[in-house]
Amino acid sequence: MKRLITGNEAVALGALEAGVEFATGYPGTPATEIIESLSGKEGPYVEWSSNEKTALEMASGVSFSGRRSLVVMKHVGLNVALDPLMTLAYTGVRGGLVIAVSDDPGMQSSQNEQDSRLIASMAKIPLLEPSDSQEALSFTKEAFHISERFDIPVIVRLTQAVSHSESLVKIISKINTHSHTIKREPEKYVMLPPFCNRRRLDLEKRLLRLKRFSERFRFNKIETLSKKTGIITSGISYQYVKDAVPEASVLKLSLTYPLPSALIKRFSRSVKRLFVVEELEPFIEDSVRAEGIEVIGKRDGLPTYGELSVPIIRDFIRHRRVDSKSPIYGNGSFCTGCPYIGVFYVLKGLGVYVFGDIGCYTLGARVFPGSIDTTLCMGAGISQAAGFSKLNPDLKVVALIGDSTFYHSGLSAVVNARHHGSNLTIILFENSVTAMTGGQPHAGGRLDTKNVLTALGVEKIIELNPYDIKNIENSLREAISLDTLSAVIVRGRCVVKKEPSPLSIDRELCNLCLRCLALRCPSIKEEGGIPNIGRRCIGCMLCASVCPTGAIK
Amino acid sequence: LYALCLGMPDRGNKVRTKNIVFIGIGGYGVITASDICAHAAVYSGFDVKQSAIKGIAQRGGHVISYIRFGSRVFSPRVEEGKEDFVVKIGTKERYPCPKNSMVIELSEEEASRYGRDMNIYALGVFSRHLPFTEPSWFRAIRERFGINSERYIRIFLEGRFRL
Repeated sequence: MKRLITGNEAVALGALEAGVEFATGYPGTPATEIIESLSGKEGPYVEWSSNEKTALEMASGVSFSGRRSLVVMKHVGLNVALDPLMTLAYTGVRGGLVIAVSDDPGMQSSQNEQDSRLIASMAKIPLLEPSDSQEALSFTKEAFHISERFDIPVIVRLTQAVSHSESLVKIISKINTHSHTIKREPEKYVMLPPFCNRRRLDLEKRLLRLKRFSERFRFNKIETLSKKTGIITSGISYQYVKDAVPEASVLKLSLTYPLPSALIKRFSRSVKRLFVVEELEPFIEDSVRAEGIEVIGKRDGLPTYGELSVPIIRDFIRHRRVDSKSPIYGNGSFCTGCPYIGVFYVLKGLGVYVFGDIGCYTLGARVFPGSIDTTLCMGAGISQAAGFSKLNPDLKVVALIGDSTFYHSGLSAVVNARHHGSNLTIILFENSVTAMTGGQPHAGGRLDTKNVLTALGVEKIIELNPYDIKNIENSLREAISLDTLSAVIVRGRCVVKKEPSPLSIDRELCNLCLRCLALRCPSIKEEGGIPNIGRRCIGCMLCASVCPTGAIK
Repeated sequence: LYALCLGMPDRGNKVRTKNIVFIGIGGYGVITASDICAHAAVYSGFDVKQSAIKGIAQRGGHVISYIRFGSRVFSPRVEEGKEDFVVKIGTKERYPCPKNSMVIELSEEEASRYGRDMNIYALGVFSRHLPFTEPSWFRAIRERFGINSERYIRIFLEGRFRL
């Protein structure tokens, strides 16, 4: 049977067919749907973990018991998981351990566009690059075999275009089952000298075997057509190449770490002009050049940033022309009735330094320009604020963080700020879900955040009503005026699925002051100086709390 | 016979990949229409790729969905200027339609008559221009709507024959 599914759904299906028993990860576009399509399926135990490091460490524990596990994250999540990852190549695995990572070239929904293939080569972990849904399914299954056969975790690296595009896959719905035993082998799993020294040498042996495997791997394949032009490519770039230059011979690489050098040499000898076409870093290209093979690629102008496309590749190969413009994304705003709008409306006018973090509230920087000074990575806001305030004690400092991000990587920052006596106000947005990626439950969902903050030593905690501007302003002013570590909890449910229940403006009472408009609520629009509330309004009453005449009901 | 009139795909020959763009406002069933269309293509024996851009705005934002079908489809993205069909659902949004593309758009009267079902009606109107068999359209609609599907098939046919 054939089905039309996304690359993410295909990874989930591949893992199911491989008999995966444990799947975890942390939500992040473009990888989120892999875990979502596994949850509720018969077979594996599935959970969202508090962060990617915890997720990978749990999976390695599952692997120790001989069972197969899948860990899912976006590219920047791999940084968080890097600590266990770097040593997991040494210890190896018992049950297959596969890490599905989705990169975001072009940064449609990320803070950077790092290339996960470089992390794979640094951590010495084999990496597969599917180019469509069928490959995403087959490679995920293959990854479990490789993982167990070579005693090593395996990365399946997708990109946004593979994760989110739908293409046809063959469904066999046969689930492999495995017998597993637990074996205690401290010399393999306790990484202190001399065990780690021995495992380090063993890793080199395993990598050599993997390299030989890569030479014969059936998905590293040559498609011979023109003798004139040959293109080495991988991942989604393969699909673009086939459309852009259909007559070219192609070496499609699927296992791109470790690379099959002999196969690459053989292909390079069969064509007159050799190109390497890959998104982001010259990962394949540099290795090919290191073999002394002449290629045309990134050094000749093919962009090392953004997504590639059929026209970019066509222009480059046919005319060696490069159009360096890259699309700019960013027109999202708060949802109508979002409980975070009021805080940003007030924050902008307080004259404080605001250190942001990653989540829906980051949109505040776009909706109320100047309301956020920094956004770096998950959990950075509180530590940045603490650092800033320590050396600038006269300035008023605020850190923003959502509850999911707080439990992901904000806790240790509060501990540090408390211990060293930093003077700042944490604004904690609590909606009990990871809202930006679609409302997944998070691992701190059953904790009482106020108690957690108290236990961490936060001296003053204020809870406010997010739909009452006066209350927001008074609460924020009070917390900021204190010379101590304080917190303001902004509790409100995510409104994305809430049914509309529009408010209306009493024309008799409205004095056209347009204060409601300054909230930048997507439901309030102005026509000829008269404010109007749209049909999507959910009736949160925030605008009513700024209206001086009580015209909004 | 009807399918023959519309030119059934000759699966022995190479069919050039055709590009469809569905564009509309979130909540008007753009993705649903695109999904049914993609599945009708699959059931008619084509290779198909589909990708949707929903954007970061969760409510009321623009939705664009791309479908490519043919004997063998490679890139999942539709190249700018290579759109064969542009289907607009519930939006007056200008889309840079290339000269020889076909634009499917409902009249004001049709849009208000069908309201929330305008996506299925528009799909019916659009279906006349596609080489997909009628049974594959019906199958795609039935899979989507289950027990309510007869109602939607009627709306689809009203669009197909613009009754």
